[in-house]
Amino acid sequence: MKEALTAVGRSLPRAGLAAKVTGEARYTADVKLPGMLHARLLRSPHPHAEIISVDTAAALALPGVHAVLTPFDPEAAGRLAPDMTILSKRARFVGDEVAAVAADDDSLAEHALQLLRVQYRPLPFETDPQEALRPEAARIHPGGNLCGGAPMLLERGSVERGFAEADLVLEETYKVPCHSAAALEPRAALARWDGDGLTLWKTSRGVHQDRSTLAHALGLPIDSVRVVAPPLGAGFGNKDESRGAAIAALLSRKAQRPVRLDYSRHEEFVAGRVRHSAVIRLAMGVKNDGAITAIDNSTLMNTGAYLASGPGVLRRAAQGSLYLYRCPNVRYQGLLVYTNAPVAGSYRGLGAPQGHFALEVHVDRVAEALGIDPLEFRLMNHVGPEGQEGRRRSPRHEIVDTQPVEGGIPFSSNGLRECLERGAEAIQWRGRPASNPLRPPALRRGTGVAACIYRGGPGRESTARVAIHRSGRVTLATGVIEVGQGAHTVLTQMTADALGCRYEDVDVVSGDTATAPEAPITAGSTATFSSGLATVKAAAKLRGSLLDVASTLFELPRDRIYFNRGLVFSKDRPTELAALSDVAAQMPRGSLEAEATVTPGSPDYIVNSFAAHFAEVEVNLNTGGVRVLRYVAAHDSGKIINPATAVNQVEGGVSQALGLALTEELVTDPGSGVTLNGSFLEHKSPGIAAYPHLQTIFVETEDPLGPFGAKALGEPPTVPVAAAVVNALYDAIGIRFAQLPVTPDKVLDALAEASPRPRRDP
Amino acid sequence: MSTAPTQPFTSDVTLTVNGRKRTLTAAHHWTLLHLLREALDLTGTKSGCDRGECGSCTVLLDALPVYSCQVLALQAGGKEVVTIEGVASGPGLHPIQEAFINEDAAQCGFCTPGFIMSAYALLRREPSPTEADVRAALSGNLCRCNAYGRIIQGVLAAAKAMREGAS
Amino acid sequence: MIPFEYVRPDSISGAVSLLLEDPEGTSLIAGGTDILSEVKDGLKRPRRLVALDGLAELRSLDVGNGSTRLGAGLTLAELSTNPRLERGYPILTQAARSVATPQVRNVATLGGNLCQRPRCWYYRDRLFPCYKKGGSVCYGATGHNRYLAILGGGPSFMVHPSDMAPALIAVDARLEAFGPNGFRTMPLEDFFDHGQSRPLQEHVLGSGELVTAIFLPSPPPDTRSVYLKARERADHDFALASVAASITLAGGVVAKANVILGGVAPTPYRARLAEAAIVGRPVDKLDLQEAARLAVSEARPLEFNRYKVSLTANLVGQALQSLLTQLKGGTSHADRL
Ligand SMILES: Cc1cc2nc3c(=O)[nH]c(=O)nc-3n(C[C@H](O)[C@H](O)[C@H](O)COP(=O)(O)OP(=O)(O)OC[C@H]3O[C@@H](n4cnc5c(N)ncnc54)[C@H](O)[C@@H]3O)c2cc1C
Ligand code: FES
Ligand code: FES
Repeated sequence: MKEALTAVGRSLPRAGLAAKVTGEARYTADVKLPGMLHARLLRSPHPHAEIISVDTAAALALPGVHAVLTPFDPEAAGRLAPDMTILSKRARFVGDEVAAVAADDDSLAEHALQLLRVQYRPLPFETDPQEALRPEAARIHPGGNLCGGAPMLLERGSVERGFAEADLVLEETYKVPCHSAAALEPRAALARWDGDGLTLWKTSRGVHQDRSTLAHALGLPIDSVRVVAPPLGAGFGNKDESRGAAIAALLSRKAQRPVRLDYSRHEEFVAGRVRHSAVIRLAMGVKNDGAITAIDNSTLMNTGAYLASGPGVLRRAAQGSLYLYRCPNVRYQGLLVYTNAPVAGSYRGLGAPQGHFALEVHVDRVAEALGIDPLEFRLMNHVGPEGQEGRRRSPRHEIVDTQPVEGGIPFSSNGLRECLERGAEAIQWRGRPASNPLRPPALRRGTGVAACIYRGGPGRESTARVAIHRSGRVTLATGVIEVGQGAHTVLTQMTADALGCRYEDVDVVSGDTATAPEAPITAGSTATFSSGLATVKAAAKLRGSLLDVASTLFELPRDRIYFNRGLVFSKDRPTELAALSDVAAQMPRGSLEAEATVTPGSPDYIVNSFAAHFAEVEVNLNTGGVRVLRYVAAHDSGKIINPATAVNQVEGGVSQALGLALTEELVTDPGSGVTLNGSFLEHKSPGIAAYPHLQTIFVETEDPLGPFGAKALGEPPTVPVAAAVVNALYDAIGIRFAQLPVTPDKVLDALAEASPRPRRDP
Repeated sequence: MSTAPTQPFTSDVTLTVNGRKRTLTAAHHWTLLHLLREALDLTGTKSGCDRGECGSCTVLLDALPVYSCQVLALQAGGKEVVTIEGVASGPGLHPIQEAFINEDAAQCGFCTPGFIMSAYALLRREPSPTEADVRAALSGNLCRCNAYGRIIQGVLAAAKAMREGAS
Repeated sequence: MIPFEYVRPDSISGAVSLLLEDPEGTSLIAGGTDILSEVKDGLKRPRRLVALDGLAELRSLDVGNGSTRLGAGLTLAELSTNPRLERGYPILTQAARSVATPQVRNVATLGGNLCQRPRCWYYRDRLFPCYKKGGSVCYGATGHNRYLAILGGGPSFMVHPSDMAPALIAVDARLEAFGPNGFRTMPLEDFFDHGQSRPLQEHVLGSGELVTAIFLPSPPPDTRSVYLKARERADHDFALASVAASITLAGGVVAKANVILGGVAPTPYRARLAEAAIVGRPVDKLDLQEAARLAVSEARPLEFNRYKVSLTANLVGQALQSLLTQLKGGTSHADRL
């Protein structure tokens, strides 16, 4: 079957791109309905307050205003999450939704907002997670500010024993700030009622999840809600909540007209979902020979006003410490804390970029203390294909949680060593200058490395449906949303090869609960893996049924026929018998369809992706400016289904994460609780000018469990970036930054304290 | 601080959009972006920030790329506007659009119309841009998917294709 | 956006009359790149916007022998691509090219750039009734002040955001204004005002006045100038600090020096002590380090902006070094930042 691959492994054009380069593609905010109203949200100016009353009379009296929704409307009490209702009589951060207006146009709605008279009772508030844990701190939710009521504790062996065995123990605290995903497309929703049935168009990363959340919150039977996701202007895992859509739905029901809600850019920054800020205390014990005896990680994360996906993020922040290096004794204590700050949620890499920043900078620190080259130290200690030493504890028949704490479970594939070796070669690690020459006028260069392990791939149960029609066209129905990562492209390629049709013949049906089958949300880099497996299985099933048709048609035994590139072949003849569409035309019914549901993963193996990144930076001692000159990203994501879109994905992930490393931070003012810099000018995401020369290397281990050998790729590119850059900075100026982003002020302040010195003396 | 009038001021405005002369009644506070997207339903021009900070609303105004979100509709009166819908002449694709597909110069595609408009303005003025020229000309467009590497390649490939097509 | 009336006068006198009709409720709009954000963000609620873009009087660019006149309505793109201007005043081209983005420069005007409002985060958020909005507090003084003033701050610690202003002052620009009493001109340096009398603007224009032009004297021979701008992000970013410097030599001695700092004070800041340290000295006996140190010797940094002191000094040193290299006949390209 391998030599028959005609779509998988090739750089075929990205699905859906043709309609995007012409402007034809309609994103959510481009969808319009006759009679549609425009909604705007009133957001709390207080970080924490009780809402005593909302006087809507003046707003409703304004001609052209059709509906106002407040927390005093009983239907607004519908629950979207255990800690969140559609609207609440308690505002928990500056920007929390308080009320909403629907009017003939946007500026009228804005005007009406100003006529709402809200009486607030301000409450004490917390913006710092450490402070929020004090017993006397303001309580943000009834259960207290520590989410789940207890720390998350994950442990293998005994760190006490590990530290006792160590020749050297180093400890340091690392800080990662909150920053925003800030997808270019702001959140949007459009609601329409037909009798008791509700249709919602919304920015979404999973229409099925959104449908059940919304049906539950609105008190509707699930069948009467249809959620449609138009093309998404990227989400980065982020657009997974439904508050805006629920509000649009309720306004629409009140006004008896379709209602559209568009977030402004400022709302997107402040009331979207941000990355959890983290304070990570890391202690590592090592032997003089470089063996790691203990890793102890305590992580404090700020989830903001609501929990969202916090626990999953907290868990991901552990995975580097637990699994990247061979170590018998590890401990992770994670604290997730509510504050009166913007809501943290899923953002590309979840907690892994935070955790890896701390771990991978710390590893360099330890290597230096031992006098070992940072790359060699990693080569000595990184986890191999056999996984961690130890005895498996989880039941033998259960699918392995892909980031287990215990040892004794091998990886399905692990190309980390090759990533390190090939990346090092590409950046000429071993040939880099032994000293750091002073470059005029005041420029210093340095090189750094960081590695990454990422859980991704196995997700929850996933379904796909593949059908072929009389015309010969094939449809793939999948619940996976195209968020810009190219999921539909690779699923189309897999369908083509698993069925034997041409890539061009496949249409994807997705993003609509009316037509697409259930799939997990597009998250945790599961699309290629989980939905890929379901797709391949469904396509293979369909091929079986088509073979029956062909076998009758050509009067040949089934096993003498095969399909390839949309043609039908007999194994006994060099030329094709017919086109697949000819067979399809003879199908007894209008179309043939096959559906498959898979629960991906294995009871025997851990499925992880790996990467090693290398950065070369230049520091300007006069201005504190940092430029990334060259960057090499070596990835093991299994077989690469589409090299072009995969390279794009890696390059984009690296560049995006350079923002976390060097420029981005969303700042909430401790005095007022106001988030100060919710704009593209003020929250400084990378532009094209600073884009570095970037080389991507794929170490193509063919994973035995993945579809066509593929593993996850979406998120790993963001994970090791900050550490690689910060390690390169140390190489350049001998200053080890423990706090992101490394902006010019931090560089200049640090330079003022320590005069710069080349680290590697000649 | 004043309260806003309930009836917004309106005026007729005539402008040429993608080669076609249009006269519309526009509210004074409408931006050109609003006029294009809402009054003319030309939704290829996107609104990523509405503050002149991201470039997704880029159109050509008298041949110069501008942020249509920071230009009032009335300011565009008498001028010539080209949007993403007007880039290709005829039913086919413009070479820049083709190059964006071939070079995979997008991910989610939300920034793409804006980038293409900036590239279109560049290549009209400079048929043989260097990589530095491309970066400078596109420096007012943000791509949050950070597909910058592919976008640079896309524009350089388009320039080459257009030069070859012209000779 | 809250509705307003948009009016397009056909002369500057027409604009002045409109301004005087309802001074409180009227704002000028040139390119609109700043004023429209202010209106959208609810920082300003004009009843009427008076458009300047139709006024030919503001659109002329005359590079003459004795002096050069730049109409206030010229766009920054026009300034940054004019070859004659670049030959005479490369510092202006450098400054104009460093502003914002190509799309902004294609509409943003010279007058608008000089009259733009602060970019301080507290000012730009409508939740803070700060000093620059007519309130009594500068929230930046004790808040997030990483980008704010190290020199001349108080009562507001904003920094003036314009890149054109320091560059123009460094070449001795004069500003022409037109108002109810006709034309008047003043050194551009005197146009900026951080006085307590008019917290809602950063300049001295009176009611009904507008900027019509900038005049540039032709530079004396043996004059070199340079604009250096440090920023956090390589594209669309304001200055963390900038230096516009120009030096004129006469017989091997520094006859005149302008060292103007941007991004560090509520108005463009003349580093007098640095200038004094080099004027009158032979060019080969200059202590640039000392001049750089003196440029910021009066700095009073806030909690989070101490770094700006060394940053600014470093930029001054680098700018002066680059001018000397140019004057000694070396290549005159601005140093890379
Ligand atoms: C993304 C972005 C990045 C930016 N980066 C920079 C930067 O790096 N450096 C920099 O210097 N600037 C920067 N700016 C600011 C930009 O330069 C200004 O917005 C622009 O120059 C203002 O010119 P305008 O013609 O658009 O003014 P408008 O927005 O029309 O007006 C601005 C103000 O000036 C007043 N005004 C305009 N013309 C006159 C006149 N003739 N007489 C009196 N008052 C007048 C208006 O009433 C208004 O208050 C940036 C702006 C944006 C959006
Ligand atoms: S929408 Fe106009 S620049 Fe962002
Ligand atoms: S492709 Fe998504 S923003 Fe550029």
